[in-house]
Amino acid sequence: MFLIHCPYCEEHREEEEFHAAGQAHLPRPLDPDSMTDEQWGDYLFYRKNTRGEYRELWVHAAGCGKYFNVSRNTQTYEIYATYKTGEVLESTSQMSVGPTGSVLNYRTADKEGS
Amino acid sequence: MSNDSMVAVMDQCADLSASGADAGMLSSGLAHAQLPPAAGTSTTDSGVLLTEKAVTGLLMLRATSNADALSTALKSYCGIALSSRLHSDTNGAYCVRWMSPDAWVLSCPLEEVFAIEGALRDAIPGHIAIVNISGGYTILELSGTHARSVLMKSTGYDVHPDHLGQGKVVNTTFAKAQVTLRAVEVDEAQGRYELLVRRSFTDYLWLWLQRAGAEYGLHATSEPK
Repeated sequence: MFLIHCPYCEEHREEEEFHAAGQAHLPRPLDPDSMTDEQWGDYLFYRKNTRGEYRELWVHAAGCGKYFNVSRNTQTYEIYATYKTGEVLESTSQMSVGPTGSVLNYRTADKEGS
Repeated sequence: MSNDSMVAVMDQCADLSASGADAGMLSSGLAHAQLPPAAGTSTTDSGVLLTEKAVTGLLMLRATSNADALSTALKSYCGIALSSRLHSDTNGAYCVRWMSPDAWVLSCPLEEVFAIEGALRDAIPGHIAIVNISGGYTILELSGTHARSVLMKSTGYDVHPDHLGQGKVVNTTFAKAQVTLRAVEVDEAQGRYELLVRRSFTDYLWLWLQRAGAEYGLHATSEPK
């Protein structure tokens, strides 16, 4: 039993209902026409391969069908937080780590507000 | 239909009253497999009852910024507003289910589905999507004292009444398929659950449920009780 919290359903659901969809927070270039092929190729194909805390896009495929962001440890598989697309996740100060390894002082904030 | 609508809307059930459901365009997703079989144990000691609500009218409603307008229009036509997260609302033959933050499924009698679609489109000038999905899904109903036991064998979702209470709707995995599971009536002793199933998965899930319910004396019938 590996449960993932869907920020749209606001419930923990079975991992089986979800799919990973790659690295999160990749802004699409505003002016692709003026880019070199190399820059465009980097945007399309090159992804970080972080060991440790990593931001990923996941989709609640068998549930509400929405994409959301996950902050996850690629080494321990620990999920620190899940948050909606369009939100940003900020660590309020020094990382405060709980007994299971979860980061306790993450909070989500709207991009525009706060 | 408003004239400025760019959407072609077809009455998919136009000849329903003329020729009857059997000869009409829409039939049960179980028809080809000749399910349910005449067999099944007697109803007297059945712990689980499985029925199909064949050929129900279904509309997929999608709206984001116009969700309030859609909700008001639905309320005036069917007497129910768009449901909140993971909930459903029922009024007689009408039932609206939350599917996603911007999607709902309305079920209604098949004869009314075209009229409701037209009424909702006329009521909302803005950007919405309404799709008639009556032919793409079917509704199975599982009831009885052991209905919950059958669900527990089939899905990873926590179906305890404290978690899946009356009126709650969840999209989840079920056997090797996906369903929209709704708790219609739930109490400690028994439950009645509705599965909104993709048409092409109907016969698979029907056979799955028959097998999973066998140990509780499942009785299968095509007629709603």
